[in-house]
Amino acid sequence: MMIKYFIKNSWFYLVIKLLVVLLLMLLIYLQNFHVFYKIDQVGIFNSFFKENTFYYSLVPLLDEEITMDHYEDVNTIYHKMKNYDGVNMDYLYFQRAAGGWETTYVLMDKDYYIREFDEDFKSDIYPCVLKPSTWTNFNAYMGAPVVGTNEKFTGTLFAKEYDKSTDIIILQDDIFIYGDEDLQYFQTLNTYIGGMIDVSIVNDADAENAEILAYQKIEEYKDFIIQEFKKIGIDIDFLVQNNSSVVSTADDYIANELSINMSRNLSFGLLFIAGSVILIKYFIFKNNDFIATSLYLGKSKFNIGLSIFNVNLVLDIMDVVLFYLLHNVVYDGYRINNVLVICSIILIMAILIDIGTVIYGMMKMDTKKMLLILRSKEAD
Amino acid sequence: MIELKSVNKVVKNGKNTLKILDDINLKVREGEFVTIVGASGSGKSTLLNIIGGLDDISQGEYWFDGKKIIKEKDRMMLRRKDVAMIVQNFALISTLSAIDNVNMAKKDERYALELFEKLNIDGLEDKKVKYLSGGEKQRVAIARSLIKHPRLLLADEPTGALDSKTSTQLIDLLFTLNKQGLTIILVTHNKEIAQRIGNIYEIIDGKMKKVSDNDCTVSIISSNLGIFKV
Repeated sequence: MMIKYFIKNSWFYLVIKLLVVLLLMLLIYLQNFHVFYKIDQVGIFNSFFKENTFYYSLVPLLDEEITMDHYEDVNTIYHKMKNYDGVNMDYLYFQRAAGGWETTYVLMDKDYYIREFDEDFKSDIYPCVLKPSTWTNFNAYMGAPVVGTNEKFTGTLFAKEYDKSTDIIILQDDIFIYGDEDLQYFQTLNTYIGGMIDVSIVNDADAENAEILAYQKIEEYKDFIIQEFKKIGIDIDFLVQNNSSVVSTADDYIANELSINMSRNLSFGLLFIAGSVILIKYFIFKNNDFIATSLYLGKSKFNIGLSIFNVNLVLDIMDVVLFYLLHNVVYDGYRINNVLVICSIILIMAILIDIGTVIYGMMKMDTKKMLLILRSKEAD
Repeated sequence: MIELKSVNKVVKNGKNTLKILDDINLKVREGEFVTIVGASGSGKSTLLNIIGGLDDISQGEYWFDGKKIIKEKDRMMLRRKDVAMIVQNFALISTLSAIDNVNMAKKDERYALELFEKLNIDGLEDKKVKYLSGGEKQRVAIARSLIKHPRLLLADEPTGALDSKTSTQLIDLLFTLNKQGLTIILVTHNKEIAQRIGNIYEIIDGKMKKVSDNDCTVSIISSNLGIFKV
């Protein structure tokens, strides 16, 4: 009956919930777009916005829009890789070598394998060197820029899930290029691996010569870093560096953003669940003639609470399914396993929030007041 | 069936305390039809709320069928099992259908339909309450009250939102129910209705006195209402 009542009376709650979900999804993407915009020095993403296309389709977009010389090799690489036998390519992770490093290209296919190819794409330099179990893990391995609350979450996973039998660690040089922010990441990473690296040695990147200095640092400290990792039992076969050109930085960010970390999604997921649940609870407890009438007819608080919980359980499942669908539509099927994990966590959290809210609401409910208000209402 | 012993009801209004009921003593036997009259604000609705388990007392004792009503749980059980109320504002959920409102009290589709027929509102089962007339709403409220086979029906100004013809029909209906054994306490400020029922208690400024016995009851019973299982 409660569900019937809710559907008949509360369609606007459902609309509000839908809007909340959409708003939060939008925020997620705006956050990403904001990052893109910040790093977009040549206007790729401006046209991207105009096209109203989500960023997962960036590679095809690059295909058509790249005109500048220093993008050409990306384009060429993309086509070459796309036609590469046996590669199911979703996007390209571009590494541009500099500072004496051997030129390598990194490809991530749909199964998240990373392959390193030589310049002519004739052979794998390091075939299938790494298969992270999750994208978050991958993020950690790749040394993706980690900011805010994500640091802790990713770091925890990194520490927990790091498989010592894996003998490859890939670090990006980004951590050396951008001063404090990246130093912070480096420090975070350092914390994860046990504080074995002296952070101060990379703390002097200055803004003007950042790029040059960065490569010097990579070169200078490459062996040192490898040794430091070795001390704690992690054998690093090579370090991959990323140069700071707009192309590779953008691509780098795209890779990172495409592998958007779980913690952010989870936070938003929980936020919208909590937000909408609280919203609904507010209406239920403050403005609901169904509950007042139920009390009036002698229903117990427990029964009423149970009815509310049942309704919210249905709504929570609906939320999570919506989140799942939106996520998958937007990301075109990426990270499906992670989304399922996220959705499961969100659902469990939502149910716990529900139980807590219902118990709290029932405890706080002033039965007598509700009954008397119902009695004193004017006849309609 | 019901016994109120020296019942007081005091409410706080800011720093002031207001005595709404003052030393109320009342005995209602099974099968009685009692009328309580009084001016607005005299405390008659509060008394009915207490009897119906919607409100508690400040002092005194309330006994229902030999059981002292003390806790909220007692009052909840009263509301759930023994006592039904119909009120001026109907207290129906206007967006639900008539039958859904009735089923809220107890899920008994068959008896609900029977009640709809007996109360002459058959055909309105699936209509949303907000589209019903006042008289129809009150009959739906009565159906909701009766579906759980209560032993006591409390009617607080049930004719307040009805026209005179519908009011008469409603009182006829209550007489029928009473004749079939349902104990009824009706609160009204309508003297005609009170006189018609008789057995009148009057509340003035929270104090109650009996003003009339049952012998002046006028039994005008609608013949087409049939037999109710109450």
